[in-house]
Amino acid sequence: MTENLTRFYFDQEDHLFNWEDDQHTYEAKGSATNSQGMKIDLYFKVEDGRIVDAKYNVSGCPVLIAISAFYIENVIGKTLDGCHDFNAIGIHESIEIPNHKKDRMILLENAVDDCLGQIKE
Amino acid sequence: MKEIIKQIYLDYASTTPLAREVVSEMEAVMSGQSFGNPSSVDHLFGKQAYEAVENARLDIASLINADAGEIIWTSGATEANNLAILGLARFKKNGFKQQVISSFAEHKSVIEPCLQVKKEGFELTLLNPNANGSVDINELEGAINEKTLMVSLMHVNNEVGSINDIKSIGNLCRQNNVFFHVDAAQGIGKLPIDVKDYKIDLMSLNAHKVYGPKGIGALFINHESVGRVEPILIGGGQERSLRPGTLATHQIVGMARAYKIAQEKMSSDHRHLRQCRELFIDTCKDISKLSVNGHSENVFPGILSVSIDGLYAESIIYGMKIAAVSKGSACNSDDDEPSHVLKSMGLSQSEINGTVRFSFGRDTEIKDVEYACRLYRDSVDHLHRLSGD
Repeated sequence: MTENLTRFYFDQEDHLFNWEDDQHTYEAKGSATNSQGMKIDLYFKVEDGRIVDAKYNVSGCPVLIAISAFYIENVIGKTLDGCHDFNAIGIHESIEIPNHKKDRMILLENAVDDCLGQIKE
Repeated sequence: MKEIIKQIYLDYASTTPLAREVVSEMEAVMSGQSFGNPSSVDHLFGKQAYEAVENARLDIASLINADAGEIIWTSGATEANNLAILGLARFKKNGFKQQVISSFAEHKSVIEPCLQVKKEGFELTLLNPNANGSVDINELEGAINEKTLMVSLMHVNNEVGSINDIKSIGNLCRQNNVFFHVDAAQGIGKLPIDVKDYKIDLMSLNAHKVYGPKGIGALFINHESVGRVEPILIGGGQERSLRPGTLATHQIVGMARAYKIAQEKMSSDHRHLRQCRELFIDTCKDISKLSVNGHSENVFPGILSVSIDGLYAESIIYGMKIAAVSKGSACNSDDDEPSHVLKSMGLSQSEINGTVRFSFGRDTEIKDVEYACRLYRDSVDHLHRLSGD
């Protein structure tokens, strides 16, 4: 089941950020990279302390791609406090993350933190 | 009922399927009276196994223009590489010549024994390959000195398919009285190689890259060098005590059959592989940021290494779904370490990350190559969209 979901979210293109269309829509952008050059950019649109829309760009391994797409799909509608609660979002239960790729979650967390930091500013 | 989707196998540099004739030959040995121990020649069962092994030895020798007595059975090319490098260095550990030369483009089964002999007191010189992935003979000549014991280089590179000029290197080594070991794991049965003409002293062979069984290989040691290699395993007198252990008759017979077929089909296989390679390059050359690694001409056509700067090979492969290909080399595919070969050829980290190896074989159909090109292009396009490029 998790393999099917990983595949599903790897193939997703529903919430991709497109510079030409989206550059003025999303007030917060958070980025993170790792030593292997993997990169994730998150974009949040926030109204009344709630994420009303979110988009992303990602470059990296299939796990990073899948968790990024899963996260974006499931974070829409969450409060700013709730968007950091990965257990509530359910990534770990849905996408299989091998032990040697656990750092991909840290990359996602860093991008979320970066995004939230900009909103607070 | 689960749908079975046909997979496209394009990982022949990693291993090949057994040829039908090889399976038949092996089955005959396993089900017949040749099951005896080839060392037990006091009875019929052992004698039959012994004859099968010795006939196979002749067949292997014939492919490389060696004498049967110069072939030592091993479990594969990894063991043969270990035996050649460790065995020769340890035999000469108290000699005047204390330098071993190899290259960063070698397989780990050469590099790690070289690092081991360095720990044991030898000087190790690892040459950088040129941008095409082969060793420059002038650079090699500059590295050889009066203390050089051995040069160990591969024939065909397993990651990019580049071909070393083994004949010129053999001549250079012989002129300088240096032992020359060739790791022929990727080239054997695919490109002609003549150990006498090329002045090769030791050469590692395997079976599973040429449609033979896994778990069997051989080390060619020429008559002049055979007494100068110390065994790395002990505990039996087989293979002149150089490689003790009961011989696996069925695998040996399978290897010999695979080599005979390879000899017969070498030209037609080569033409077919060239066609596959050219088709892939022609079809995919317009893909954004695509580069082909290695030399365009001096290359074994069965191996094609392509890079896309900024993408991840693991994701490209994942996106190709039904195509079996490799990122970097098979030995590297379990970890995130960048390929040492591509690195030494001067590729950037980002290019290495995006490198996929396609390797074609005798059974690869043209329509499979066409389909793989489509899968590759679709996967790359998807990943470009994801990354916002």
